[in-house]
Amino acid sequence: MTIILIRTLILYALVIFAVRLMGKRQIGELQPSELVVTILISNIATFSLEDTDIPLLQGMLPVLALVCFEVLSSWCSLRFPGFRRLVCGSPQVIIRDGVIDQQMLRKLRFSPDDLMASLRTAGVFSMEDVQYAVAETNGTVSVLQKADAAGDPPRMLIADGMLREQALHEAGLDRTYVEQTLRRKGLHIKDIFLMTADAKKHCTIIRKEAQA
Amino acid sequence: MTRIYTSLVILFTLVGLCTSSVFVVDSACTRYDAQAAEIASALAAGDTEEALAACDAMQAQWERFHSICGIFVTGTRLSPIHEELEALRPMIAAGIPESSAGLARLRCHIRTVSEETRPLFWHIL
Repeated sequence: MTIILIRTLILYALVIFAVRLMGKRQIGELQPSELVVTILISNIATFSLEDTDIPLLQGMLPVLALVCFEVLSSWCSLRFPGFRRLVCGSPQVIIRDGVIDQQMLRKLRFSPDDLMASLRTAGVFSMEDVQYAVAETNGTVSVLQKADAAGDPPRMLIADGMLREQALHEAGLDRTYVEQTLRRKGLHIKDIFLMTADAKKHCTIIRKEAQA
Repeated sequence: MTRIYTSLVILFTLVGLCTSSVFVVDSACTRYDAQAAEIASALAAGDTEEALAACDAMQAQWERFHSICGIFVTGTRLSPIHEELEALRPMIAAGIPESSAGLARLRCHIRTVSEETRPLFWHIL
């Protein structure tokens, strides 16, 4: 009994450490990889609690390894967009200019009921009010209402110093336009933390902060 | 970046721990198997005194290593070795012929522990 108590205490501390190491993102909406890690950690920790024949180290090792993989995977997602698309997928537009993309809904296995429920969760009760809706990678749906809409929603052209060709294409822009815009401000793509542009080519540019 | 570095340090520590555990368990099992072979040859030669001495030496070493081994290997894998080793000495002392069979079982359990610790493809699967 005492052994189980001590093991529980150690594993409790370990799981708290694991969740803290994964960061605050973990507590809110989960990305697919985060969901997997959360499910696995809770299961693995339980095994070691119940079965005292299993060395504690054998229970702790996979918990720590999974958390480390998750942290490194989120770092890779940040650095490499391709890796991020592979692990997390990419946001998909399901309503464009008030028109439902039924093919995309089928691809995402979103029923009309799911769609309406997601819209209601976003505070929209009528389809007619929706200008844009995007199924995010964490499973939530972001909605841009017609009343708020000033044309297309802004596209993220640069994220963390990396140009997003797909977003450029969707915004009807090209690399030259972005480079010229930045050059006028004495900047380069790799200096930019975030650059968005809307349909009227109104750009928002946020520079990278100097790393400590 | 602190999280990345912490994760890398933990990962390298885990890899180091796992690798060293394979070597620690494997070398201990090889040593016990050699000692068991020594007992077997003494028994085959009919030298009970030497067999008992070798058995005592093996038991003493096992007692020391048992707790360390318990960190890396599950209790269900170690218990049979412990049981066979405990039963072996009285059997040899009493001259019971089944002691050879007991010794063979002991060596089999030792080899199983050693083999299952190695990260071989079929063990991973």
